[in-house]
Amino acid sequence: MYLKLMVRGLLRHRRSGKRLFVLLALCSAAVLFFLGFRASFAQRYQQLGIDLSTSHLQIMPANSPKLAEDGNCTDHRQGLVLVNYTEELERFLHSIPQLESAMLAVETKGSVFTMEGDAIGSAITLVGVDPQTFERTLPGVRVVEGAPGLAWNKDMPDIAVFRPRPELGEVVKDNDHFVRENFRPKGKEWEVFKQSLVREMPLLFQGATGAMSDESFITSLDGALSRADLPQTLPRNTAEKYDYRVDDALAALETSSSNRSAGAADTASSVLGSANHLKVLRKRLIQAVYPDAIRPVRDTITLDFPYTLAVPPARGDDPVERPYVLPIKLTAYVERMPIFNPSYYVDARALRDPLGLNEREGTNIYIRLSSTADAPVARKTIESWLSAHELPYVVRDYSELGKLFSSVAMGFNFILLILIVLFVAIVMIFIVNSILLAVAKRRREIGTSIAIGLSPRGNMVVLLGENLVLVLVSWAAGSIIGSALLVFFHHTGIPGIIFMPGNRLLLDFHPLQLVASFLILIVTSGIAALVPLRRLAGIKPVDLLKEAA
Amino acid sequence: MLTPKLAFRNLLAHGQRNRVTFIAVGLVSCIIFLFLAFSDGEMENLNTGMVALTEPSSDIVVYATGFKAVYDQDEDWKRLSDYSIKSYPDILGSVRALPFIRRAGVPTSGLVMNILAAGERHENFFMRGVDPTAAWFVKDRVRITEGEFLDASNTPQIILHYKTAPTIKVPPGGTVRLSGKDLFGQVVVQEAVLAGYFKGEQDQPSLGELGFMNMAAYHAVSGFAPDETMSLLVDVKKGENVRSAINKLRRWARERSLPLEFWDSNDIPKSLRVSDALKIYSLFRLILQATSVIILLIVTFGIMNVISVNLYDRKREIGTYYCLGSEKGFLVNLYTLEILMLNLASTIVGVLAGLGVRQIINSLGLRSDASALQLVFAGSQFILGFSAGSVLFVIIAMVVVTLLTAVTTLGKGLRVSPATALRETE
Repeated sequence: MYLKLMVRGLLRHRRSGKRLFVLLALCSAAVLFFLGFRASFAQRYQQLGIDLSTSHLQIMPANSPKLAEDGNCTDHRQGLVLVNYTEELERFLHSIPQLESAMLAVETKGSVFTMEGDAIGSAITLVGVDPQTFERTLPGVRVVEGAPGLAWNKDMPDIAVFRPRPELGEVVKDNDHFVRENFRPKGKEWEVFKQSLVREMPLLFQGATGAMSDESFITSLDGALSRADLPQTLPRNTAEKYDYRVDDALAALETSSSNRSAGAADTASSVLGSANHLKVLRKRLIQAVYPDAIRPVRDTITLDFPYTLAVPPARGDDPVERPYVLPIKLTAYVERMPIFNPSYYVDARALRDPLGLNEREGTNIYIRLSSTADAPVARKTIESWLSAHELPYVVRDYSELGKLFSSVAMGFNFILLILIVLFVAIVMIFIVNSILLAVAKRRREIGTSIAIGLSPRGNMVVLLGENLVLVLVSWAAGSIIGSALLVFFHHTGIPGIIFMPGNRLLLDFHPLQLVASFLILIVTSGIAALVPLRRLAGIKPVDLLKEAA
Repeated sequence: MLTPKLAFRNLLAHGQRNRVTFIAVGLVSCIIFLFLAFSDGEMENLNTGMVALTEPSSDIVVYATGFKAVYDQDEDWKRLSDYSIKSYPDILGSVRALPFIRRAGVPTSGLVMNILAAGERHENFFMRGVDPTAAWFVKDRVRITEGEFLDASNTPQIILHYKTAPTIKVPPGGTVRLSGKDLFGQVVVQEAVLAGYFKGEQDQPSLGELGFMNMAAYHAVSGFAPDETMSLLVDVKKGENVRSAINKLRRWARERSLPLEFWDSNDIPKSLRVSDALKIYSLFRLILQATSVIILLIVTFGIMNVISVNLYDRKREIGTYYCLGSEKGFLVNLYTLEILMLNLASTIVGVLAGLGVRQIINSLGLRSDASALQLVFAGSQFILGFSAGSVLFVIIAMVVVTLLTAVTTLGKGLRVSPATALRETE
């Protein structure tokens, strides 16, 4: 009988039930979506840290700077603290069944300079890797642009270096042509500057009469960047008055031009003599002549371009730093851990000689396991072995090594948790409202049913049952919408998630989330429905009958 | 006047029905306000902690004439050194004596130095000199955990962050050797006494890169003469306009033929180190704002639902208005105003509740030395901040929600025949 009454009630009040259904379905979809979002972010972010930065485990000396709570921020030791990767240790590691790969690394700091001597950014973290096992140990550090080879041998003139793509602040867009933003003067001063340039460098503006438009002025200057005879067109007073900036710019242009005319054989010299680079140098020459009016011309970070790398000595006991300067070439851009300071990667063999390390010395050993779940067991095995051999090394897992990453995940998860709680709270409020209204509207109907023998408790069961049916149907519909959203974002990714590579987070769908969303919805709606229905239970049948009359 | 009066009366008459919307909107406003207060707190921590210690700022920055033009050209220190302020102690004394000036000091320039301590070399400390007459730059913003703060003696002294103590291994009073390049590219090596270890009042992992030295050490390693500096920082008295203070200072400098220029500190770009940190927390704020918008969208749908149910229940009232000759436009205005009044009232209550929560949380003084939490809070204390922008964001968001609700529900809800009033009252 209850079932019959429930079905009748639902059919009769389908109009107001429809609203509640839409609200519950949307809420169910949103809860499912956010549960999926939260789980996917936590899982993928952890995996990202393992693949790109920490691997599953690392072995390092007990006093390694990597063990400092805040890494380089609080441990400034320059000297490398070394681990000896003996053959015995290597054999043991390879005997661990869960091991996928192990890699001895040399991690140090360094600075990269352009050929003009300008530093690119601040100090960098340089990771010397074993090219044989690098890809397997840190599979996330994949090449996104450029040549994949990192292997080095003594015959190579330049050491191949991988780095992440240039960040927004490092991107230099307009260094091989002129745009209005390159010039400082505004308004009247701009017109005066244009006229003085036309007067002082007439060869660049042949045929120009009167005031020049911005467009034709900039086009003429752009044309000058392709002229080999630009140094001869400079204003006469430039040669009369010595300025180190003009001198430096002329020297750099001369060297690159000679590389070009000699048809330089090696890539580095040919890149330096490329038409594009010559344009940059010519623009720099014009800027040197007019430093107050033209903004400085910065070097862009370019693949296959020669740079120099300065690495501090491995032993940090000298009061005055004498870094080793190595010729390098950026050969590829690789994926990086977003937000955090990027690392540069190089074949460790290229660092061993200058740093005075033998082939079995390094700063830490990266260990990749078949699965993240194997980490505790593998760690225990390695720790026992190290302690049995009285080696002063420690083992750290991905969660300890990636503590800074955890703070990001924690903050993000906290926001998502608040979102879910908030959704549930809001939905509870609206459900209470909807049921309160339903009860108020159906007082006459309830009164009549009491008159024909149904108790207020029986009415409560009917209304709760209606609510349950509504929740079930809404959850089913919401689950379809939520799952569809998760599947959609599994393929396209959610844009704007700056913590993930490419600012995109791919979502994953797990059936357990369906169960979780159902439980959240059923409990929430149950509690929310109880509030108005309890009132109903307390009402005297005679009062309802009076109202119905 | 009739519309607001009626809207207000209706609001009171349907108090019970409006309660749900009031609670929901109030709750959401409170949470969104707390979200933004959290972000405001982060920015406050960042500005009073890492930013203030790395790059102190003030109302007005004083340079030697021509410095800013050369600085804007991205010139290196070799050229910038031609534009230093000479005899700065005399200038500082005179500036401090001006009636509209609250305080003035020397910020000093940061130097990247290496430290040889206990036979081991430690690199990349960002060392700043400390003006002993301007405590608000450093002294008021740090706590000494071991040893003493820097003094004004002629013995070069430094202090370092307390988290570096385990690797520096030199107790307070011990000697270290500073090495690096001065501001003009010359190699310098200088012995100094490690006076103590500090902890930031708003501590952060990145403060481990900072170190401070007294002026004796600063003059030895910066390359500046003892009375030479690159800039001065000046704060004006409360109520004093910065622009007019700049004009007065310009006049004052002209009268004394001092080759100085005065800039509003807002016109001076931040260093890369500081702007990067600010950028990260601004991005986080953007995420919180985006999250707030998602919440608001759901709330809008919920409110739409409640309002349309309310209108359905108030058919008689709407019919009566039509019977009395009301136009539809009048009713749209009336009900929009009613929803707006309700939402604004609950928003204000929500924000006030948020302010109460903020007060309670801030009074608890929740502090942490854990790096991960310090990164999340942008400092060692969890504080909820306050900014007019956050309150405005919540209010504007709620006005938009109201308008959206009105546009989507009133059209259909007000489609009621005047006869309804008569039919249903019969």
